[in-house]
Amino acid sequence: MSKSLILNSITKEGVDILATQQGEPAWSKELRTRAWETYLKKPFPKESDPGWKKTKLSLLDFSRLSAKSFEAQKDKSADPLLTDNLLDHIAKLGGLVFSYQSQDSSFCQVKLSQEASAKGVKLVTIPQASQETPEILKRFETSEPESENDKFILMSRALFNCGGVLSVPDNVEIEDPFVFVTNLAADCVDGALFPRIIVSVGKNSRIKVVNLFTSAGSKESSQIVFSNALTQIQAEDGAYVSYVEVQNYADNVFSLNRQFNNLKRDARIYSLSVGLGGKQLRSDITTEMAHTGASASIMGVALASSGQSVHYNTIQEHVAPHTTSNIDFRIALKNHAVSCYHGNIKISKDAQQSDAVQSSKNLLLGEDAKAEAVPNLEILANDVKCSHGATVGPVDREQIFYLNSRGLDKTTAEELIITGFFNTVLATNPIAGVDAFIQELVAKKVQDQI
Amino acid sequence: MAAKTKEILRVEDLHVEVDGKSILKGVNLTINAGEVHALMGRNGSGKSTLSYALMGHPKYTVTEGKIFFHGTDITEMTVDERARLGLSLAFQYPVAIPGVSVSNFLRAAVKAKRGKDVPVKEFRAELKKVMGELGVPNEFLSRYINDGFSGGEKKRLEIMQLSMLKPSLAVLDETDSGLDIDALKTVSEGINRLITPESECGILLITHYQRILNYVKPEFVHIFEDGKIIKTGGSDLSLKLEEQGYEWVSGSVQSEAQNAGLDLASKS
Ligand SMILES: Nc1ncnc2c1ncn2[C@@H]1O[C@H](COP(=O)(O)OP(=O)(O)OP(=O)(O)O)[C@@H](O)[C@H]1O
Ligand SMILES: [Mg+2]
Repeated sequence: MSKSLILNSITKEGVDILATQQGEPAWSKELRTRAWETYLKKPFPKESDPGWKKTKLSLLDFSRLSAKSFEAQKDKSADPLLTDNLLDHIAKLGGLVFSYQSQDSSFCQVKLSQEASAKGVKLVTIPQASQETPEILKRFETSEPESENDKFILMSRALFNCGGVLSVPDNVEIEDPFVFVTNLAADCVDGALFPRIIVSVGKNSRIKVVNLFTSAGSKESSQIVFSNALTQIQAEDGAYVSYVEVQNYADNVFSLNRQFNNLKRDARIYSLSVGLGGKQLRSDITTEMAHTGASASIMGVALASSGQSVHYNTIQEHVAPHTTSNIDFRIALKNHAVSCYHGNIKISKDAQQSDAVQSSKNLLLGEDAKAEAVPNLEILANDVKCSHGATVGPVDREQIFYLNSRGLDKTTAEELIITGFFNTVLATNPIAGVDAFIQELVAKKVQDQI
Repeated sequence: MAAKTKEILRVEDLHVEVDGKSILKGVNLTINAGEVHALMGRNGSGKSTLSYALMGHPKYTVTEGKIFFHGTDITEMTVDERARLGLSLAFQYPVAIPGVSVSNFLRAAVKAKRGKDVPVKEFRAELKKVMGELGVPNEFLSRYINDGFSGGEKKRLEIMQLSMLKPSLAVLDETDSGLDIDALKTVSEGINRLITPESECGILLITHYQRILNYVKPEFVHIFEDGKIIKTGGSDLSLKLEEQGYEWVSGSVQSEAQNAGLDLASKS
C-alpha cells in the first residue's frame, strides 16, 4: 500500500501529479491536460438549470476537495477489506477490480479468472490502463458527444484515478460476472474520487458485469466525499452485456454517475441500477442504439430516506432503425427524501420502426417525501412505437388493508409492499449471483438498518 | 348441527358511514361457534360494507353501535389486531399486490397470526396439505398476490389463506362467484373444514346464490336490505328467494312493518 497523495484541490497541479505518480506515458498526460483545459472553459451547471434542479450541487466545495491518487497493486489475493459480503454471494468471478481508498492509503488491484484469461479477456486497473490497454483508453476518450461539453465528464477525463478496463474479444461467452468494486474506508473524508469503468465487448460475446460503489461511512464526519464516476460500455455487433450497478455509499458521499451504453448492430444490453446510498445520488444513463437491431433494457430501483436526494436522468437514443429500448425505473422515498426522474426518448429521423418504452413509478412513503417524474420526447421518425408513463403516489391503502386483514401490522405490511414494488424490477436481473446480495441490501434499507 | 351457545360475534345496532354517506343503518347479528349464517340481499344493499366494517377498514366509520368479538368490544380496534384475534375476511374483490409472492406473504401472515415463526418444514407441510385439498397448483406460491389470477383462482387463494390462518370467524364475501362447478365443490369443502371442534369457527357467508348453500349448509339465512337485516329464517328462506326473488320479502316486511305502525314508505 502506498501513502495516498492528497492534493490541495482539484487543480491542474492535481492532474500533473496524478499522471506522474501513476507513471503514465506522455500521450495520456496530454489527454488529461487537454480535458482539463476544456474543463476550465466550461461553466459549472447551476441548481437553477432545468436538468440540475434536483441535484444539490451546493453541497460541493471544489476548492476543498482533493483528488486522491491510487496505486496499482498486482496479484493480491482476495481482499479482507472488501466488505458487504459481496464475495460471499458471488461464488465465481470472471474477474475483479477492487479500488480501495482510506485517508492514508489507496490501491487498485485486479484478479482475473483462468477461464477469462484463457479466452483472451483483458482486465486491468486504471493506473495500469495507459500502459496495458492504451488503444482502449484512447478510443473511449471522446467516444461520447457530451464529453467535450460536460463539466463533470471533463473533470473525470482529467482526473480519473481508479476503476478499471475490461476488454472482451469477439465470440466469448462467460457466465461468471466481472466485478468492479469501489470501496471507501470510514476515515476517507474530504476527498474526490474519479472511478472510471470501461467495458468493451467484442462481436457476439456475452458477459456480465457488476459494479459496486460502497463506503463504510463515518457517523462523526459530516464532510462530503465526492465520487464522480464515468462508466462506458460498448457492445459490438451481436454482443450481449448484462450490467448491474449498486450504489451503496454512506450518507457523506456526493455521488455522480455517468453511464454510456453504446450498442452496435443487434447488440443488447440489460442494465440495472440499484441506488441506495449517498447524500446525493445523481445518475445519468445514456443508451445509444447506434445500429440496426440494437436493443436495451434499462432498469432502476432506488430507495432514499431523510436527507437523501436522488436524481436519475435516462436518455434512450434511437439512431438506427429497428431498435428497441425499454426503461423501467422505480423510486421509493421515505420521510423527507426527494427524487427526480427525467426520462428522455430521442428517436432520430432514420430510426424508423423503433420501439421505445419508458415507465417510471414513484412511491411516496413519507408524508413529506417529494418525487417528480418528467418525460421528454423528441421523435423525428414517423413510423415508430413509443410509450411512456409515470406514476407518483403513496402506498395503496387497499393493499395495506388487505395485508392488515391477514394480521400483518402496518410496518410489516408497508415493508412487504415496498419490497414488492422493487421486486417486479429486481426479478428481471439476469446476474443470479448478486440477487441475494441486492435483496439483502434493499431489505436492510427498507427496515432502516442502513 | 345443534345450536352452540358460545358466542363468537355480536353486532349491535351498527351504523356505518363511507365518505360521509350512511350505508349501514342498524345491523344486529349474533353468530355462535360452529354456526353458518348466510347473508343475502340485492346489489348495493350493503353486504360488503358490513364485511369491511367488521374487519375495521379505516374508510368505514362506525357512527353508532358496537361490534363484540368473543365478548370483547372491538369497535375501535385496528384491522390487524382484529385479524390476530381470529377475525378474517375473504374478499369479494381481492386486491393485487405485485412483487409480493404468495408464499412470502403467507409465511408472514401465519407468523403474525400465531405470534411466532413456524419452522419452514412444518409450514411447507401444512401448506402442501391445504393446497392439495383446495386443488391449488404449486406454481401459485411463487406468483404475486392476486396478480394476474383469474376470478375463480383468486377465490381459491382466499380460502387457502383462511385455511392456513385458522380463524374463529370467517366472513366470506361472495366467495362462490366466479367459481366453476367443480371448484365450487372443492372450495365449499374447504370452507366446511374451517369449522373444527378446536377452531369453533363461525361463518358469515355472503352470497347471491343457493348453489353454495347446498354444500355449506346454513343454520340461518338473513336478508339484507338498505343497510340492515330485514328478515331472518332457516335454510328454507334461501330456497324461497331463489324461486321468488327479493320482491316478496320487501313487500312482506313492508306490510309487517306497516302493521306494526312503522314507517318504511321511503324505501324503494
Ligand atoms: N365510497 C363510497 N361512497 C359512496 N357510496 C359508497 C361508497 N362505497 C360504497 N358505497 C355504496 O354503498 C352501497 C353498498 O355497497 P356494498 O358494496 O356494501 O353493496 P353489496 O351489498 O355488497 O352489493 P353487491 O351485491 O353488488 O356486492 C352501494 O350503494 C354503494 O354504491
Ligand atoms: Mg358486495
